[in-house]
Amino acid sequence: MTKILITGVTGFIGSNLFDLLKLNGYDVFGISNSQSKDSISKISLLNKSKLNSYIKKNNFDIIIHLAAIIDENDPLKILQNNYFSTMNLLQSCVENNIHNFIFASSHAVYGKTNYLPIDEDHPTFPQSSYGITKLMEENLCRFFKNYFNLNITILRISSVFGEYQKKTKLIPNLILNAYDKKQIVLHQYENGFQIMDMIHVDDVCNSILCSLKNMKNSGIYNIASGNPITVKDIAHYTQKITDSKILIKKMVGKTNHFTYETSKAKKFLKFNSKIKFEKKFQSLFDTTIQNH
Amino acid sequence: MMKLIIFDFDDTITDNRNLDFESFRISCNFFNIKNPLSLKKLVDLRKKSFTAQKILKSIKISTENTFSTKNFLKYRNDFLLSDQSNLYLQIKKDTKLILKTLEKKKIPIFLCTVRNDKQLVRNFLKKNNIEFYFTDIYCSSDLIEKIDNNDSDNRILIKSSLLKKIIKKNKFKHNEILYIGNSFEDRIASSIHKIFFLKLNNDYLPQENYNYQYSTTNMKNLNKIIKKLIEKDD
Repeated sequence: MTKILITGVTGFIGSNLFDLLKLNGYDVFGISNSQSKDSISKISLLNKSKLNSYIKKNNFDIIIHLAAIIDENDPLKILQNNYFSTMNLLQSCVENNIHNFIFASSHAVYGKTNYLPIDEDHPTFPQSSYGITKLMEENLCRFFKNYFNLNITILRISSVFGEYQKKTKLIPNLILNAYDKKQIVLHQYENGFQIMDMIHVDDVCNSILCSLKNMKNSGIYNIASGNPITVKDIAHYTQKITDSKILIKKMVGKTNHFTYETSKAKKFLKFNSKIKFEKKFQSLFDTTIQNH
Repeated sequence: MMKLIIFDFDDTITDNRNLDFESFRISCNFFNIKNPLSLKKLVDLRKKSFTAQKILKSIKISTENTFSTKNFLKYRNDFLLSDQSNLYLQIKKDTKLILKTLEKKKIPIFLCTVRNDKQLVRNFLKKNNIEFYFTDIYCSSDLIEKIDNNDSDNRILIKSSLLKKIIKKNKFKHNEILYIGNSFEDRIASSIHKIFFLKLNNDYLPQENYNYQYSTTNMKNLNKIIKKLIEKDD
């Protein structure tokens, strides 16, 4: 049985992925910096010796690295934490002869959009500290792949949505505001409403499963729905259910539109995003309200 | 050297000044307003980068009725998007000369425009008997994203996305592709893909302070430049 380690296992994607991989017959372990239970251990990725002895003891076949911090209020913390976590993990892979590594990167590595849909060859000029660290980590992965011959798949994941997401995220925040009979405030920039690509967490987990099954096709892949959506569309779905009023706030400045080319993941990972936003919205709305 | 030529549409192979003028005149008629614009005045304003909204502000339309700029602009835009607009859109003199040159050399010609309505573009090409010269036409409606083409940054994004599609489909090297357009937006879109750009300067639109590798003001001269660029390969 393939033995897998997931970092960031208690996070939004990690917790869903843990269940999916177990269902698919993998021997799944996780590490988290927040809690330990069953096959999940509380270990900081910055604690190199503890991390290394844990990995050595368990003899994993594959590591899926999801852990990252996103706190934009402390950009230096993001840089240090994310970079050194990945460095420690990759070093541990080399020291313990683990050849297969899946890294959850982000669409934030692209930065300003030059053309749509954005493919994997699009230039990378990240604007946020989170995007910068993800690109730094991707470069670390490239180095370990070339120098130590590791088999590394990098997944550039688009904006994720799904049930039980943090309330501060765009969609739960919008739903809860509308439910509380508040207005839905939409930001309209000088170049219109932002065009985005939102992928459901189940699709993201499925893309990681597809990557596991196709480790021989390691490389860089966009993981996105391939369907453009605007905040205005999301607000209209919400309005249909809640009858809330939409207030359009004109913003000074321009926004960055983003949608992604997904044909490479379709071809080499056999991954196809299946969940349509509009079909999932009602259940997303219900669970968000129930957990309010 | 050049194996693929891409043309922009509005104000590149077309002369839009009459259409622009008529759009204001017809809209004024509809709203029972005396048109204070002359063609000369309109050209002067356009040279100063005035948008339609800014033009309306500057000409201070006097009317006893309450005047809605928003309604006026919507009516004008609807007219510009209608088939009727083709009556006033003119093909630039000697455009056919270039198309024939390219046809003789079997160079594929593409059209790339931020317009949404491909049929309108086709109708214009048909009306001027030049449709068959073009291998394909790419409009903003070819993108799955609906991007508002009234914004300059969005127009760059649309053009750049369409150019990407053309480049991907035709497997030429980037230095074998020439894009011919009339605006800085066209220049930026081509620079994104590192393809050659030729600026067709237009006395109707604002002049840009930029040192272009290739530029000209008329189709006859453009034909000479294109011949040279193609013959470099022979």
